Amino acid sequence: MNWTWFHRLGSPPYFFQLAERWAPWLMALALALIVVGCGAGLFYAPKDYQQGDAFRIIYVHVPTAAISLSIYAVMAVAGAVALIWRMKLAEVAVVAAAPIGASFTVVALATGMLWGKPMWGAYWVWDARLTSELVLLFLYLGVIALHNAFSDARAAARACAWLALIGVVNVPIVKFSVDWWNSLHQTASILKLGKPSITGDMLWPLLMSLAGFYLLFGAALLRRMQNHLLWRERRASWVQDWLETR
Amino acid sequence: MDPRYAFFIWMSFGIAAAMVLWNVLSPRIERNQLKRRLSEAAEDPAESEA
Repeated sequence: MNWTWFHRLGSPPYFFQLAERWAPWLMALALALIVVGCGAGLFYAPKDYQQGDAFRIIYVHVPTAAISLSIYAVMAVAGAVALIWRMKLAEVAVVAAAPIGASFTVVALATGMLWGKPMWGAYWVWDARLTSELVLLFLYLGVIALHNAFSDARAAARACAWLALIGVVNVPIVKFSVDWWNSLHQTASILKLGKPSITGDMLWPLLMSLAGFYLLFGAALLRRMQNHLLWRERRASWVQDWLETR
Repeated sequence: MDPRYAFFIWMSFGIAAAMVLWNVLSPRIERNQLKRRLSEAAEDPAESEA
């Protein structure tokens, strides 16, 4: 098998051009899927027989919560690649993903609170799932703060990579907290092995919304990585050439 | 939509919409600032060293 395309991805100018081409399409597709998925969730999906209309919060809560975990896992993998192979793009991926992950986690926590109040009678309980998700937010904020604490971009990225690797232990804790401990939060009903336990009319808008939010993460990551690359490679000829064409 | 839940539902979708907008716009704004900064640095190399 020819791996040249994969090795070329490690080159900052090649990656920059590729991201320039793909990010607008990914973003457009993401927005279309989010609008259709969330719109269908709001106006088409039937009411839940127990929760009534309140269940519609699922269309923003579940995708953002699931992706908040995926982003941290991506950061940990990128962190390992950065530390082992000292690949510049992996270092950039770790620091570029952190603010996106933090934004998804804030929305997962806020929508969870807004769902909790009418269903549990409280915005917040110190439950294992909620607390571990809050720890996840602190980990994202820690990576952002650590990145801003260094003047040397390379040293900052390596420190962030270590924190991403150490903090990844929290990801399975968030995911399985509802199985390991007694929790007010329900166990997995969609993102689990076997058949999802919700009806098709409720499921397809959720899957569209999930795909849309994943693509949004992909597009935002490409854009943020491009910005980091522009700054880190600002003295390179390809950045100067790019600036002249703008 | 059940009025008992309307506030919670619309607030949730509103917060999510704000997050989507932030993820779309903030890299664009950052890039424009970066472009301006790099162009200024290219005109005045002493500034780029700082």
